[in-house]
Amino acid sequence: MEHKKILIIGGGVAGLSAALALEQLGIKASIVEKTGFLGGHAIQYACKATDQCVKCGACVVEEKLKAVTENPDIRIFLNSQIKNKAQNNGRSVITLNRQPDYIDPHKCTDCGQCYAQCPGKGAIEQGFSPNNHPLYALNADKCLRFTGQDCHICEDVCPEKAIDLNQQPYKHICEINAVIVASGFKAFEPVDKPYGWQVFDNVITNLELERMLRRQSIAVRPSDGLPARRIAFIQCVGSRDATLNHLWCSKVCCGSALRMARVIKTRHPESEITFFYMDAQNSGKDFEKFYAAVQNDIHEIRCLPGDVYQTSDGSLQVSHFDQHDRQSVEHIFDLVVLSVGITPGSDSGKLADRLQLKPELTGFFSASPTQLGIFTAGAAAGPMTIEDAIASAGQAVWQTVQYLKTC
Amino acid sequence: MINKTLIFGSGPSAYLVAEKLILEDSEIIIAAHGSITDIPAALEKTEILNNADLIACRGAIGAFTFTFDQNGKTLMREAAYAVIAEEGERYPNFDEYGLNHGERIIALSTFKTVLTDADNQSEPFSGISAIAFLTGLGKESDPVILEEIMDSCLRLKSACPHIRSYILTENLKVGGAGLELKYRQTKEAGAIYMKFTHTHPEILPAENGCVITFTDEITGDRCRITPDMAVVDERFKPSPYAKQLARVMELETDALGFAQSDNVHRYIVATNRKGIVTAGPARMFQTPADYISDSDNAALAITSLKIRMKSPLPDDSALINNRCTQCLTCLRVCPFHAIQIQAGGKLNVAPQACECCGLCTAECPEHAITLKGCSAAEITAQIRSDVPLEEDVFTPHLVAFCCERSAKQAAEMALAMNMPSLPSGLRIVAVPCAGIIGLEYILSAFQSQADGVLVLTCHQGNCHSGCGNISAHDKVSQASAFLETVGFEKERLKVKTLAANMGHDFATIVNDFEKQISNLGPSGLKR
Repeated sequence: MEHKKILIIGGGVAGLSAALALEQLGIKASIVEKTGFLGGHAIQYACKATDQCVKCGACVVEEKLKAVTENPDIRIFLNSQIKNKAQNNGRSVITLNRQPDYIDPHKCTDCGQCYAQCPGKGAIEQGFSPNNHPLYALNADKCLRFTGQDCHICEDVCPEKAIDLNQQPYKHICEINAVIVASGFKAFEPVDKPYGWQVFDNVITNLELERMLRRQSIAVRPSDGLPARRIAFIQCVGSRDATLNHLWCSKVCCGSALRMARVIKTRHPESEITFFYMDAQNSGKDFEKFYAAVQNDIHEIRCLPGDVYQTSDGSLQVSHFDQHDRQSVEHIFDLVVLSVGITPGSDSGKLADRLQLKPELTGFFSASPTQLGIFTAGAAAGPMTIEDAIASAGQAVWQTVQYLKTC
Repeated sequence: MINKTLIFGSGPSAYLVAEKLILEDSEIIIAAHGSITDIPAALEKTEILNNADLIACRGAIGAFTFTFDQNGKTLMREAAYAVIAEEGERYPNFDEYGLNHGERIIALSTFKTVLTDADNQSEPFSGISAIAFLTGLGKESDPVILEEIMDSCLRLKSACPHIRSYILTENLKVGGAGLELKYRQTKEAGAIYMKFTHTHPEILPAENGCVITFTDEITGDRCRITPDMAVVDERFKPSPYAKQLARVMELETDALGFAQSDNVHRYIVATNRKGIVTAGPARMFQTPADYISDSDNAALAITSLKIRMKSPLPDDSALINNRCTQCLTCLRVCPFHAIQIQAGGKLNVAPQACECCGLCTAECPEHAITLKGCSAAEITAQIRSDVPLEEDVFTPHLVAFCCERSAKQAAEMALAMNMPSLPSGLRIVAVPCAGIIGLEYILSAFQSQADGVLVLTCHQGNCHSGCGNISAHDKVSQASAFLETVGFEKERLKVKTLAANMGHDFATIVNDFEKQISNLGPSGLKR
């Protein structure tokens, strides 16, 4: 088993958990991550504890990331994607397309000078966790140099001379015995929904609120940075939606929204929070008790709003049909949070082609293997909580180990 | 070395775990509280203890001794690992709906059995034209139950197409794999869903079924249906014997008594006792797919532990030296049951079970336990390093005792991620668990020029050591009472909770504390 090599596609919580579980069995794992940072979506989530832990699992992701980055036996390929897969004497040969490490991880000290002084908007990105090293990565799509301008400010300001923009993308070939697909999900982009996302500054997604709470501990209006007192959560945006053929519940959004609502209300009791929903889904073992406590703090409206408008003072007007009075009712909010659904990964079609996998009708990968030596973990197989993703990674590792005995 | 795994249980969950561990060449013993008659073929060579009632569990990972009462006789088995894989129990919610069990008012499990037997019966539902499924009315239900109800509806549709199904609920729990799709399939098959938000249906038993009166929340009309049968949903609980197992093995449990505390650091099958894992409905209610995932995770956990047991002993665990007076304090405080009584009454620490939290070192009245990072010398050295010199302008010197796993990580996040800058006079003292910080260290910090002392620990319910954070709170409130008694400002001591990913909150807590201490001025204990 020690000589077997496993390639894990995706460095989110499922991929990290799978790598750690394999490492404990003495099996070498490599993680291929398409972005510049490990941790996936889950590392962007905030702790939602009041004084009590509410079991969201975000801190566990932090811990897994730390364990992986501190483990020299787990190989990590950032900014890399699968190019193709071929067979060679029972082993698979995978070719990776690798973007160079423009920031040399051995030299970088995470000082952030490049980030602070980059003139290209968003060309140097900051990771979400101090356990990301380098904490900064170059986004070539936004870099002035890569869009034809003669800019080398980051190279010049780096005190360690860790940045070299003259490197070229290259291919990396690895021989492996099995693959674990942990390529995660894509958060639904609600551009076509009548809620004004990317039109009005103060309409954000639940993922954006998670990041905001993680970074600032407070919900603010992006338009002016002032605390948001009146907040609406709109559930099921892109989930349970037959018009999109998204015939699934994303499972995690009720828990995420209710936990965030509770922590905002606890920290800022003057907040007024409204929860627009269809059916409140469970979040963890003690949901009954948790939900009863949240219901005291928030205003629940069991209906999805028709639309969102901006008023002359920059507030947001949300209208919905009131079943009780049988008429349209308007509410005014400072911040509207859209609980966007979990949809199949943006490159899952490409990945399916390159690995000869057959995705399900939903677009997610099947949780049970459809191709010899390829296993699925985490939200690549459908909506999952952090806990589910870790369990699914454990299951994929177990299936992998049983498979390795046969080859 | 013993290589056996003892599996508690006598149902699908226990068999699944056993079959998987056999694949890894583990020797298995299955201990059934009742008697097993239908053992799967793969387990024929396995030792089965029937009617085995666990009365004691001693030892630690690699060398547990389990004592059973078997029909009045004492029976002992040694095992390196154990898996709790008892089946759960289901309780129908008749009381919730004001109903009594009857021929036409039955529990979901009973209904499923009748449906399964339907193939063998000519008219299983004769005289029935409508069935109402009652779920999650008043109390929240669960996707596991909804899936069973929807599967029952679909089966009923194919077995008895003339029977109409009503499903009455508040929140439809579609948060499980494939359930939204199934919801639509059942609707296409004719199932009628009635969802309640502000009103409750009145359910009255009748001679043939029941009468349900309710307000249609959309039209406001009063309606009445008279199904010939009501199927009542169920809630799950651990079996009394599963609860007994947790009690005898001294395992943390959750609010309902399942043999795993609701602590994210026990994901997926771990308990607070290394070497003992829990799988399937012994740890929470589950779908059949979860049974398989749990058995895979349990088998994986045991296999990983076996590999760890073969590797060299960890050299960083706690050690008990000869100052020990065998008072057994450490045995009581160790959250992981890593401390054992040897023959002759001497105590030792099982290295593989020790999680190095240091709680034993803090509680030992003889200071007879040593652990890296927990000695008075090491912590005092951290407190005393970088003590600032007297300055003309008062800058409070703050000592923050930080749990290494949470607050220390949060501090690093604040430093790395350009969060609000930290006070210049802040000294971070990292400890394995904030629960080890007591009056001595707090006073030591004040003696070393601290103007304020913070103890920063994990949120309630999130401590790796289970109760280290509670211990930290208790110790700080005792120390506060002491400071008040001796006339020292107790405002100079504070305890707060944090998680590893709360960099901004860390910065806020220490900056707010600095402001408070600035207002108080220099500590009177400063020389």
